[in-house]
Amino acid sequence: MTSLGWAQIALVLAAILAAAIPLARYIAAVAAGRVTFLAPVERAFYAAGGIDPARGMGWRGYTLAMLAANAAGFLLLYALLRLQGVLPFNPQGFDGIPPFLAFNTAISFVTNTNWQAYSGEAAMSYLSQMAGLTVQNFLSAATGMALALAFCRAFAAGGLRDLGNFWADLVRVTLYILLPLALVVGVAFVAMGMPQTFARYAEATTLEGAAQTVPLGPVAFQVAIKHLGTNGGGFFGTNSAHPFEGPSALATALQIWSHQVIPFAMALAFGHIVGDRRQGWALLAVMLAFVLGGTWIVYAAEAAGNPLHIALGVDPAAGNMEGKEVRFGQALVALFTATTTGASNGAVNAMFDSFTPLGGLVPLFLIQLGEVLPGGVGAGLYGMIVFVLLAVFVAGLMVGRTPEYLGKKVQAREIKLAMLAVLVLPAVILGFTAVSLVLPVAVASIQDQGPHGLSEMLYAYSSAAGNNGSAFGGLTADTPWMNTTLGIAMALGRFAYIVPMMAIAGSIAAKPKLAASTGTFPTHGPLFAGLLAGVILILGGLQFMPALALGPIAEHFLLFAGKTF
Amino acid sequence: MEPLRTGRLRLPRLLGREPPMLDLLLLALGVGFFGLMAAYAFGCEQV
Repeated sequence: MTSLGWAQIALVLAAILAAAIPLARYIAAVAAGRVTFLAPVERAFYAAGGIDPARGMGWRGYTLAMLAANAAGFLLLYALLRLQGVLPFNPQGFDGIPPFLAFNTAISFVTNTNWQAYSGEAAMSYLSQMAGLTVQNFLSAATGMALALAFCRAFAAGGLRDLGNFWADLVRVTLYILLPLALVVGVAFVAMGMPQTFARYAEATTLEGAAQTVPLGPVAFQVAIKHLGTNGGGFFGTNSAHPFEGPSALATALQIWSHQVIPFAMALAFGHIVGDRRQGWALLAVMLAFVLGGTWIVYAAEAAGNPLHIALGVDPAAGNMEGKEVRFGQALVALFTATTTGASNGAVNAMFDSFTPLGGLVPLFLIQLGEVLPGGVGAGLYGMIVFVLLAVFVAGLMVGRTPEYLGKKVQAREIKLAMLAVLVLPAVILGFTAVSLVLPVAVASIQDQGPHGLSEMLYAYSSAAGNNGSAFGGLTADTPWMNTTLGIAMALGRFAYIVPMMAIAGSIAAKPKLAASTGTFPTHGPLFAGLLAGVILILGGLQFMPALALGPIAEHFLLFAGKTF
Repeated sequence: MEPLRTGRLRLPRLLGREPPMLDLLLLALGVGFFGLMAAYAFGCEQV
């Protein structure tokens, strides 16, 4: 580790926080319907859909509208992928995507996961990339943000009967937040050297005289929303490590900024919406602490290098550079890794399969902690508030008082629903991993032996259920078993969490808002932040510790005993 | 991919070599999941 590396990390994080503060105020204004500079466009959407934006929805109506929108998105994307071979904007003449892969990809992009069992440049037409995948990047991100805004409203006042209008929230978030930001960031990416073209792939002759095809396409604007929406699906198979998708260290820094700024701003927007900004800062502090901790462990592990390489005479000064781009360096790789997995983004600029075992443990663990650090756009905030409810419940048990949060009593119904939500991740991840580690059809997908092979399978289901989408590498994912079960894991990880979470929102919204008294446990100070971090670590971490011990932790000790996989 | 003759366009050719029944099964799985989640929402009301 170097001081220059830490200065890079500090600079990027400072830029994120500096932008998140005003963005939070703006998001709160959009949530309240006070931003109207595109009102004619907004009204056109409502008129086309027959929507009355003023009509409020209860939690069930809001949830059913969200499910209907996402079901339609799944059907349309599946059809587009299967039919791309006969549709326009297909200069390379790609065939339709096969059924199992189309199923997996459609679920993947609808759930904001962007797990990719294909290489975009070798499989996807420009129409599929733009009208299918990029559109879903916007809609899945807007869905998460809309749900988070509905959840925030539940705490804002007492005796609420509705949580807003899903369709109005979806339109406003897309029009006023995601599209303008994506436009600005997309132009910046073009200026940094990312292609944005409909031209055919270029044919080049190398210095050795060999023919080489150079993939092009409408890359820059897809990459912009890929990060801003914490989607993470790359235009190219190697994602942000590709020279056209991550052309420089500056472009990498802007990508990290893009996939962190909205999740952090959402935490602060929560404080604005509930009328107590300190609550937002408390959530942000916990998120930031985990991001910094994760970055430090990856940076330290990778900068220390691989002991087996060093024993062979490799210069230890550069650390473990296997699977990394020299132009990014260790510091930006470490920050990118911790932020992309903590934020449920899933883009990668290095290959985790080549990390040291401890370096590879961090992205896996950050996903398993529930994708709340700071989590996906919207999804991170509502996931964090579910952990907050569990933390105040634990605090209430300690002091013998009925727990409350922001003046709302947290009772048995909310805790039961919160447990239904947080148990989804371990049940799906550990269940599918366990079955896949004994079924020959699934074991055949694993490339490496021993604990490293276990990590490959565990990571795949963690990434899918956590709606992260990054790949550990080394796993053959494009098989009927993997495509189908990973698709189901993504869908359960997204929607089986959202339904009880929205039920909590409905229950909390209806309760009266009580005034704070001397006995109220303050939820904006360091004591509560520490308790919240502990609950996240214990609830998220302990469930996965046995699996982690058999995977990356065992591999770490074996590496220092001279055995590699 | 061979050029398509619109007059002879048939669904199986349009979708490749895979049986169309596979598409129906996968679509039913996807849509069925969303239906299940809708039912789950009603179930959560009872908690």
